Amino acid sequence: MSKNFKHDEFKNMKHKCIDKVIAKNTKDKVCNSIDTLFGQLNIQDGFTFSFHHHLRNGDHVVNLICDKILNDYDTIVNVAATSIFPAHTKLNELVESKRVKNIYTNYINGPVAKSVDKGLLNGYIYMHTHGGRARAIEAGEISIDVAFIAASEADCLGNANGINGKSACGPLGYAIADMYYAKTVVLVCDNIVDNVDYKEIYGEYVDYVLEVDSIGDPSGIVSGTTQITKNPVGLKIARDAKKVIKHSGLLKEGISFQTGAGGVSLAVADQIKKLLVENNFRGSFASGGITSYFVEMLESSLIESIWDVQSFDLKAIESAKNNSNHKIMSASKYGNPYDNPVVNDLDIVVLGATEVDINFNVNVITDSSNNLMGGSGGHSDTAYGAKMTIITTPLIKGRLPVIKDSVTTVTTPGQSIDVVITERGIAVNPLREDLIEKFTKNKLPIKTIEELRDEAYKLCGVPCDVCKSDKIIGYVIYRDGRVIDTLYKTYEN
Amino acid sequence: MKSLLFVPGNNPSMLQNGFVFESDYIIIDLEDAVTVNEKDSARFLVEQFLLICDKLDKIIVRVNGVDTPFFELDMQMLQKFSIAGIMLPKIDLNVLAKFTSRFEQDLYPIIESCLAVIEMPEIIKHEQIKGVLLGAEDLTSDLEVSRTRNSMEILYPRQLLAYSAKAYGKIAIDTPTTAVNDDQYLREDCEFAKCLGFKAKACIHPNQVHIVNDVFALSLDEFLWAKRVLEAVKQNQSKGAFSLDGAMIDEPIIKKAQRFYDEGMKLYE
Repeated sequence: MSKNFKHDEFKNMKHKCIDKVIAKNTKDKVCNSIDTLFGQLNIQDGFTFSFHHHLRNGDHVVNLICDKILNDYDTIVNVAATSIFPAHTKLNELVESKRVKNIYTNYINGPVAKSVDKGLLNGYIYMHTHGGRARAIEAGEISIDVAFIAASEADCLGNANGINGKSACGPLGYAIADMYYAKTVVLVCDNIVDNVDYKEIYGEYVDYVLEVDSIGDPSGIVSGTTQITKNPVGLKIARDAKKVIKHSGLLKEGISFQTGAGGVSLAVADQIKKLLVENNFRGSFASGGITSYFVEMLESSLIESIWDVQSFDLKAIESAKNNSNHKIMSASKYGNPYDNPVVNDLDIVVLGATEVDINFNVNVITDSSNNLMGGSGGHSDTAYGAKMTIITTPLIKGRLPVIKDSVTTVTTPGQSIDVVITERGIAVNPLREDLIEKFTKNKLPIKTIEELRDEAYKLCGVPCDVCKSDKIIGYVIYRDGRVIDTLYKTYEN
Repeated sequence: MKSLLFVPGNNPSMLQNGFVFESDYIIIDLEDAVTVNEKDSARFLVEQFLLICDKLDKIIVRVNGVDTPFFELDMQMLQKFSIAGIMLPKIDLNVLAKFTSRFEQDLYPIIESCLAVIEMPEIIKHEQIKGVLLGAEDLTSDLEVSRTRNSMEILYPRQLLAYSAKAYGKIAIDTPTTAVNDDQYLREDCEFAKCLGFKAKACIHPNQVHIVNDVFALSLDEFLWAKRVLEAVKQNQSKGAFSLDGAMIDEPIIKKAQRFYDEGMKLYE
């Protein structure tokens, strides 16, 4: 059975789209101080502020704005940040002082996550996907009052990009929906120039340009490890992923794929590279978060193009700037189900998991103790779109089984997951009879998901259920807007 | 048997993952990998592991040398388990006699001294011995020569071991390749050992296992060749010998082709 049928789901749903918001302020946009800017914004109780995370843990802008609100206002606000990182300590102070109602985000870890776990929001946390957030903004479900868009190069009209300047952080794909649909757009920049040649952010949508000393430290954009793992278990999983891809029927001239940026994901990417070389194939595109590894594949003509929604290292930024085959896309183009997204053209995506259950549901939002520690990002978007979605994970992490009866939090529904590869065997979703037949014929070490669970339980014991309290702290929002799980505060004793 | 992975006896996670890497056997090491002050705890850990392990027939334990104070305790612990065998370090005829006079387990000794090389055929023919490992590091240390990349310094013991093992029906196991981050060199080293007559190789890192398995397994080309030979045999049944692709096919070649075919059917059909 092919997965393609699932793309039809969205055709039967109403596509809501509000009008794009042209800037109301068209003159004297540049503000040299944050006080001047906030004097113009008329901050009200219940305002929603948005931010992108292209500077990841090097970002200074969230803290800058939260510090201003902490010190000069007593309003309660909502925060729509595409991701929240440990560096966002001022946002945490705002949460701890009970000044944040709702948080809309696609990924969260660090102190803000811990505060949300404690139930310190006045409202809830809504965990979206990258594509789902863009859809929710264009549908008006996330209504942004002020979007703060950090850019590394801008002109005084608000035209801007993220690939030039001292704080270059790569393409600004996650901020595009905010630019179009926020009621007010503030461009935050530490490098204002006379003319911007490469425009990702268009001045006609920008109300103000806030000049600051620094939008952040671009060295903080590096996502975890960007080196291929040397861990034997990770390498074994990657070698098995190679066998799975080789015998899936999808290995062909023009194959498209996405892997993450972690050590095991890059090991899988390395195996895909070997498959391309061994078979004298050229891939059509690689997509998602981009590292130098993919840039090298592009430069050696092993793939025709890159679709980049965010850059994970400086070499990727340079490539995005200089190579016309390194294409930049918005989060909407990446994963919005109504935007004919790139994820629908993926042959293969390789994703990680914190937990997988026997129905193939995947959790990447909470750990097994129910603490917030991540988020879907593009997990659900790509898992839905790709012809074959592969989860690579060790069967056990520490003393915890990764495959278990039920996941603590459903992030990506099991019907989107095709293959789970662990070091102790490969499980194929029973919905994919075609893959089971191919893998069995080629003698791959196939086991049922229940067999893998049993093996994990034999090694670790059966985990106790997490003691969740009755207090709801948030919701998991699927890419089409449906609530697919509820987040509860953990029972403290 | 193609691959044997050394697993330190004092490392719980490596014991737990020992079979993950698809080696045919694991060699749990109580000797060199375990420092003197961890001998007791390692032995206890290995005992606990063996109690829950369901692949005892794929486990060989390298015990401490017969003249060490740890040997008796190691063997006492292992009497409870039906493992595949004991790997005995520093073998020579004297050590072999000390072991076989008291214990009946199958043996996989390590040839790692000049004396053992000289005594090798006599050692290898002992009925308790099922396979023999060459220990090149200790051997070259005993010989007072350096290890080199082309391994010429161990060519003689390698060849002697391969011939002796074949002559007495034992498995010739090649010395581990110590360059753990050089896959190309490992592959070349395996190919050379295979062409000398070794049937298996020991691994000191999990990342080596898949390459060793790959080289020592029957290749698809070998299997296809065997199929063609056997098909040609059917068409030339009246002849004692005949020609295929310009090469003479006679009884020894047909036997070899049958062996390749039988092995290949398990792998490729």
